[in-house]
Amino acid sequence: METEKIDTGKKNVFRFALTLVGRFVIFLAALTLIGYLVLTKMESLLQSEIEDFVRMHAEITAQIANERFNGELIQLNRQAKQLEVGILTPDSLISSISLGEPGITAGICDTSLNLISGVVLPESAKMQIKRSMIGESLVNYYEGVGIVMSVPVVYNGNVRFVIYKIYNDKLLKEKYFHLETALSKDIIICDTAINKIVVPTNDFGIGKRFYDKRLNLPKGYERIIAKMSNNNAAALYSPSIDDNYIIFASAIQDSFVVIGYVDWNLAVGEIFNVHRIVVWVFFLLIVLFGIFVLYSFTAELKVAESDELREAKDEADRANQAKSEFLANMSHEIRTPLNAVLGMDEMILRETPIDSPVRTYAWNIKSAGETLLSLINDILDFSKIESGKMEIVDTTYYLSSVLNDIFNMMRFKAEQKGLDFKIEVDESVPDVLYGDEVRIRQVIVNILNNSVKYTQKGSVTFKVTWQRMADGSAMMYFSSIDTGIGIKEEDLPKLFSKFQRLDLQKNRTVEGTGLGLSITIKLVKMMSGELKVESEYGKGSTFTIILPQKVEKYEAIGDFRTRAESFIQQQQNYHESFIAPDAEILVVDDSDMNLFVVENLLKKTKIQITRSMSGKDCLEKLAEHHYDVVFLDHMMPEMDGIETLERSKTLENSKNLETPMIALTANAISGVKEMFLSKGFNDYLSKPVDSKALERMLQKYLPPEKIIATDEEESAEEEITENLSDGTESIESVDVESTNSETSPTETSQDAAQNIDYDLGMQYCGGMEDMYKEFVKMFCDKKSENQEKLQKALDEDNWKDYTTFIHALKSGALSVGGKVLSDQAKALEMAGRAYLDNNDISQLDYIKENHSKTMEMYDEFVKEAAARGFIEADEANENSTPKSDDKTQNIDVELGMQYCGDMEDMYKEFVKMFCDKKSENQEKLQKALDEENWKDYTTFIHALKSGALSVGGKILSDQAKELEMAGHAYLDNKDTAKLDYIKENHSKVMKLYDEFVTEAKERNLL
Amino acid sequence: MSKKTILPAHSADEELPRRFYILNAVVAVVLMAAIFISIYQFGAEAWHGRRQVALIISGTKNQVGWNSSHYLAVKNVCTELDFDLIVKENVLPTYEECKKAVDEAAARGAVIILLPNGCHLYDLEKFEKDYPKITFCTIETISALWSSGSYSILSYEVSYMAGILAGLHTKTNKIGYIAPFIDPEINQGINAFAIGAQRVNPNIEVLVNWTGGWDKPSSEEQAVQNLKAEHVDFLAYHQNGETIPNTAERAGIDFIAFNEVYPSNTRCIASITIDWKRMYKDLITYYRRNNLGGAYGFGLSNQMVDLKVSDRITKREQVLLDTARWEIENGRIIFAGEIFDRNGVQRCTANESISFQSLQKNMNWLVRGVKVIGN
Repeated sequence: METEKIDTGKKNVFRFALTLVGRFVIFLAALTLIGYLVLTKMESLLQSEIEDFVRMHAEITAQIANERFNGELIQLNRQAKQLEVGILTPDSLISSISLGEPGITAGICDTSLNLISGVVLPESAKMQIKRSMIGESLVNYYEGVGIVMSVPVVYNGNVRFVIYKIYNDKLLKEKYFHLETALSKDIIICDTAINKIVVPTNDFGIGKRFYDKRLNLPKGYERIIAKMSNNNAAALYSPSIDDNYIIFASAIQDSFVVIGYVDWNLAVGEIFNVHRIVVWVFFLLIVLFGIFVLYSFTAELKVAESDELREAKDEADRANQAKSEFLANMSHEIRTPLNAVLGMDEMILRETPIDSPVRTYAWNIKSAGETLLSLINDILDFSKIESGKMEIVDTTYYLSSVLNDIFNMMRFKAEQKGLDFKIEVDESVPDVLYGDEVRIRQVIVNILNNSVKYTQKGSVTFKVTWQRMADGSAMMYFSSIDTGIGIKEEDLPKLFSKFQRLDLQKNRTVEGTGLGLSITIKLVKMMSGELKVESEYGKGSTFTIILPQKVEKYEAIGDFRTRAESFIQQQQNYHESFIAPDAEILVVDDSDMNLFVVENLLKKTKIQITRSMSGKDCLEKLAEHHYDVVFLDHMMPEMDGIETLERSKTLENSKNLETPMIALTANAISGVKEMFLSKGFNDYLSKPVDSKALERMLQKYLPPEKIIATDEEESAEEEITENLSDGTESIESVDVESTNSETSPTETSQDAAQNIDYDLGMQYCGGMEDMYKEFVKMFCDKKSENQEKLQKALDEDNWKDYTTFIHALKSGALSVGGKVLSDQAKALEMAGRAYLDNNDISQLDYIKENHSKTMEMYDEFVKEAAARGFIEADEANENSTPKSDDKTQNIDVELGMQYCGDMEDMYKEFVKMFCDKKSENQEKLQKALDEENWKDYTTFIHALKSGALSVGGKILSDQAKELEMAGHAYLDNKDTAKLDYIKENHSKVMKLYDEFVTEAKERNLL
Repeated sequence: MSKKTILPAHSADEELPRRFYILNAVVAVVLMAAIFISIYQFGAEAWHGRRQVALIISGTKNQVGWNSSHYLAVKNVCTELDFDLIVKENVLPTYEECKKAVDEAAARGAVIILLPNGCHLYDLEKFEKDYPKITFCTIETISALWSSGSYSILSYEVSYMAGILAGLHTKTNKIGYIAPFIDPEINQGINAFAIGAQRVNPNIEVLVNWTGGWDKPSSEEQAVQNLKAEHVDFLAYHQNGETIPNTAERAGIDFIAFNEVYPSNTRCIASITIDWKRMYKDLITYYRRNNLGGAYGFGLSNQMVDLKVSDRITKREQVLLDTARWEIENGRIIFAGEIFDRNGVQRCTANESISFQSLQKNMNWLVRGVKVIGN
């Protein structure tokens, strides 16, 4: 195929060249032809002009000759007259005519041709004499005689005698009637009647230039006489007659003709310069035209080339597209097996005793695998940047979270190399920023990675400082200070070149593509930042990324270092953060290995995992059974993940219409996340699957009630529980456990701290009090909801749901130290399971009897949490009593004041404005709702959300946010189910707005 | 039945370049043609425009005889030599009439004006002054050298031969001659006719009847009747038109026609023919040679005038005519030797010949043996 293509290309080039040459030849031939014709025509015109000029000269010459002959005739006529009147006698007349000139003779005869005097009339001239007898004066030439002139002698109108004068040939040849002009010295007189020479030049004859030996006539005689047929005079230039002379002729007398030759150059004179100029200029014009033609051909060639270039560009674009596809495929193809490798390796790490040498191998595999993954990521990133597909997506993020991740990652790496990793974060750095979290994380990791890579001993210090800018934004400085090898000054300019690695000899053992810093600088520039490098060769380098970031909220990050280090303490070893034995998930992947990896990664979470190896099988399973989460691989044969998802949405008997669907794919190229979300996936998880990312994803999407936070003890306990065969023992064991728990309350607990075991809760939160408080708050916030769900299930005798919900309460309570409540809930759960599994109706009674007690314990937990300062008192009240009864729940004045910079006047003004706008806002929303103008509705509800939050209407704001999210979901994904949600909840939100206004009035905020 | 899909010979994408190439080729051919035509036509004769010849005649161009013969001759020559012809008809040879016609012809761009009906010498001089760039040619009996051309028909030699034929042919020894008026040119013809007849028939009598003009049909008819009444059985004439031949035929008189051939006329024995076409061709050729000027005489010697005989002449008549022609061609002079006029005055002695100039200028007499019977 390739050879054929080359042959075709060669043929095309040959054909193109042939076309060009062909055209050039045609142009040249046409030009030459035109040039030749013009030249011929010009020469013809020039010749005609010259001949005309010479012809005029001939006429003048003839006139002179004529005058010579006429002069002779006039003289003869005069003498005839003298005879007539008797002045002369015939004899004296003859004497006066000849005058003794040798060669001239004369005679006189009567009308009967009788000689009167002089020489006898030559016989050949008798007719001439007879013509003279009727009065004509004539001149004729007779060969062997010479020129004979005859004139009549007239008496009273009658001719009585004729006088004739003879010039013999010898005389004519020697001198008589000879002519010369300025242009011609060789003038000959011929008689056309007999085609004989009458008056030759002196030496005319054989050997002379103008003598025609064949005819014994002047050269060119016949042709010039022929040319005279239409004219009295003619001139002719013909190289066949003479190259350098123009022959001319003009008639004189009756049959005489004067013939002469004019030098061509003499006749042409300066006129020929015109010819030379025209020929020369035409030649130059042809050359010019040739150049122009060549130029235009070149231009055409360029056009053709540019066509080829365009085609080449298209080809390159296609190749680039192919490259992207190749990269995507490669990514997938490499990531898929890598996923298996890393997943298996993770399993090995988890299940291998710490002291086993296998673990070391596994660590090496993990390290190499992650390096390989990093390389792939680098190449993909660079590809994205090169193709302009890399986008900076700004979102609100917590810097502390980013720093935390970075710290964890780098500290580990640094320690592996025996380096001291330090972090120094300015305590005043704002925590809530607006920017591209992912890319910031990436560039920082890159410079830190570099530092770690190129530092053999000493330390790597990660320093974060900031500077408040005039516009309120922050200029962030992320520095990586190492004690590594440093960079030579001359190498600094090469630092950011792609695929460039410095000091290769020294760094040959360092892995990398050489793309890292190149990507970093490009990403930093894309984020309007800069990267600075200070380095001293041999001592170390400092890389500083300076990035402008918007500050979303001025909350100082605080003592990050201490927090981070304490957190690390908690993360020394992996353990699963939760279990969810009731959760059921479906994992769809065509690779058995991948399914195995996922299964094993989640082994300890006890999640019930269903495997599916094709889209078709997946759809069947979705129709048969409800799953809490579905992980769907993208690249599958026959039916890919996207198609499977689309079909699942329209599946009539699907039991999973609301189930979160998470794309699971090795495809990591630009825009893939957006693509999946736009196709209707709820989220996206890239392969190789990171166990923590997987767990985070599950925590996010699994129903909260099915998630049970746990630690090792708990999990151990769970294991024991699961091994027991009946519920009684289980309850007992719980009791034992709970007793144990109660015997160890924290010393720092306050009075009557029976319901909350602070220490236990803190354990579940990794010793982080903030997190603990967050958990407690969440647990308290969910109280009403949880209680309602349980009550509903109880009322409806829906024991399955009840058991599920009470299980969730059990787990949730335990994770916040609510050991008592948890135990109580656990007893109910056991009872529920006992009923569900063994249909033991007696268990239901137990549930009914103990449900309210359990709920009360929940209330008490909340109260105690408020009393002990874990949550705000208001929150406790809110959760302990129904909302409708509490008139002061809708407005969080403190929150509102925060938004107003703690200026009460401004706050009140805001509240007033928000309340005044109520009717207007409600009308707009109602109108959009009625008209089903969901775009407007979403816009208006978004405004209400923001407005409510800024005046402390947190509940209203949250509710509005839900509606807004539903609106967006519909607008983006045409999820009509969301519209139902809006319709159902709209009036509720409006009611909250009314209540807000009422409350504002009651609390004198207006 | 399988359906065939007929694809267009050229797709739209191919059609546009194809049309473009065709357009280019057409433009190239037109340009090349324009270049070749330019090269060949610049400086060509056509660029000088066609020149025009004007013919001013006293009658109409279709009038058989003098006018139509001149018109046809000039027309043919103009066609042959690439001139346009302007014809002015019914112009009498008076100054006023001629002036009007000359002005019109000049206004239309004539470069040569031909006046075959004659024009007075002084009138011609005036025209020459008015239009110096125009060449005028007229039939003029007076030989003169001037800038324009005058041409004469030297028909007397042929008239001499006609006289010989008449002298041989007559039974009554009375032959007639009808002519317009006394004029040297006309007289040359009558005198030569008489000399010729007398040479072969010493008893001959030549009766002349004047008509008063070139186109006088009634006078001409009357003249024929007059001559018949005088027992003339053979006649010759010097008139325009067909009146005399027709009348002579009706009257049963044999005749020699002038300037026309009448093959179907049972009484036409011979015709004096003038090759006008050859004459005009010579004149216009001289003009083209730029040497037209002076007086031109056209006669038997240059084959412009001839006597064409019918098959009704006898062998003897033919032999004698041939002899006469030979004599003339070999130098026989018609008006030489002793010549007396009809009044007995000797016009030429035995050792003299009358010069051409004298013939043209002074021959206002008729030779002995000629009798004028009318007007």
